[in-house]
Amino acid sequence: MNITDIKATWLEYDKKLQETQTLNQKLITSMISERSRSRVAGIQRQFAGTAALTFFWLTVIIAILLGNPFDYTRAIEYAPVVLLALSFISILILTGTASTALRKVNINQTSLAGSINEIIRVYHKPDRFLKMTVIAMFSAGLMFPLSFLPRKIEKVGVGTAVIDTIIPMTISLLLYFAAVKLGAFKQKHIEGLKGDLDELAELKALSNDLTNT
Amino acid sequence: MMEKIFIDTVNKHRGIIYKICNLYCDDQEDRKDLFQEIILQLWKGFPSFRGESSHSTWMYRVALNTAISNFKKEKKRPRPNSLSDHHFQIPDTPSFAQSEDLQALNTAISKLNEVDKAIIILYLDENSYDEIADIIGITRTNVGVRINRIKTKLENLLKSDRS
Repeated sequence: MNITDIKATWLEYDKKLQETQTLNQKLITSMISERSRSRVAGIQRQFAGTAALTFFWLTVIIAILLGNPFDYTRAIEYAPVVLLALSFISILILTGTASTALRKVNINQTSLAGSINEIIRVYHKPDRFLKMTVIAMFSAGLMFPLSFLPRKIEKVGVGTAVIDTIIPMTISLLLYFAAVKLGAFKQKHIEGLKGDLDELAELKALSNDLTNT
Repeated sequence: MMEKIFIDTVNKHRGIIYKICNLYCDDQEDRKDLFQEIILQLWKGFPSFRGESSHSTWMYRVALNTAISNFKKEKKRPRPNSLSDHHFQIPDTPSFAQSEDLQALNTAISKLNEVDKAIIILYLDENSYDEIADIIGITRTNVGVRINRIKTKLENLLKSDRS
């Protein structure tokens, strides 16, 4: 088959497609109302998840600050909790800013090359926030015993108080490492990450292909 | 009112979406998912479409951008409110199986890479080199070079398929 035959065959195909039944209003409306499976929408949902988790932890921390369930008597005792609250607030602000920027992404007015590059840029956005959320959450567990340190120093002296604080912090750290080593977070996280990285590599290859034409 | 104009526009050029879905997805379920995503993206972009290009050029742009760069391929799992709930089928090439040539052409195009597929669809649908350059984002000269390369590749694929 030469190119003339190819074109004729293609036009025959096109004609047959145009003869198919038209799409009704109900079907198109239902398509519009369904959940988007675009890459940008997926990343938006990731941001929403990060924001919800951060908001939950922020609420817990604010409740601790307001209710004072651990009977803190000095301002310094609040330091670890305040630091955590500030880090969660920062994550919320950054996630909100990135989410707003993402809403402005419009791949429908650009060329295929522009669209691929835009999606690659969007792909790199959530990494930072996800890492920050994980670090902030694990810091919460590690830093919490520090808030009791001043009281302990007063009661049992510096040496014993430091040891008494380091022990629960070390236990938290060991439990965290054991959980990581045993693969508690591995399966789901790695699978998702691998999928994302594969797609990113695929898009980068397409982008290079277009650049090197 | 806008909804009616949108539906008429989609219907007028539905062949573009069918062709892209058929060539970028292997099975009917994936095609339906891609079809739905393209309709959704077209709907989102419709209010900002200012008529700087023709409706068909805009539809090629959105459909190809969605199929190649913006469509999230998820693992197969039953999803609520899936399009499969609707009695809707994308007319694929096997339903036009009377034409062996068409089957062979479809198989040959499927073997091309994603960008080459997009270029040959645009070429076979008789878009000008300028339009193809604008939709893909490469220069007019590169479009010419690339089309010649793809034509040779396609002819060879079709020859090897026949022998």
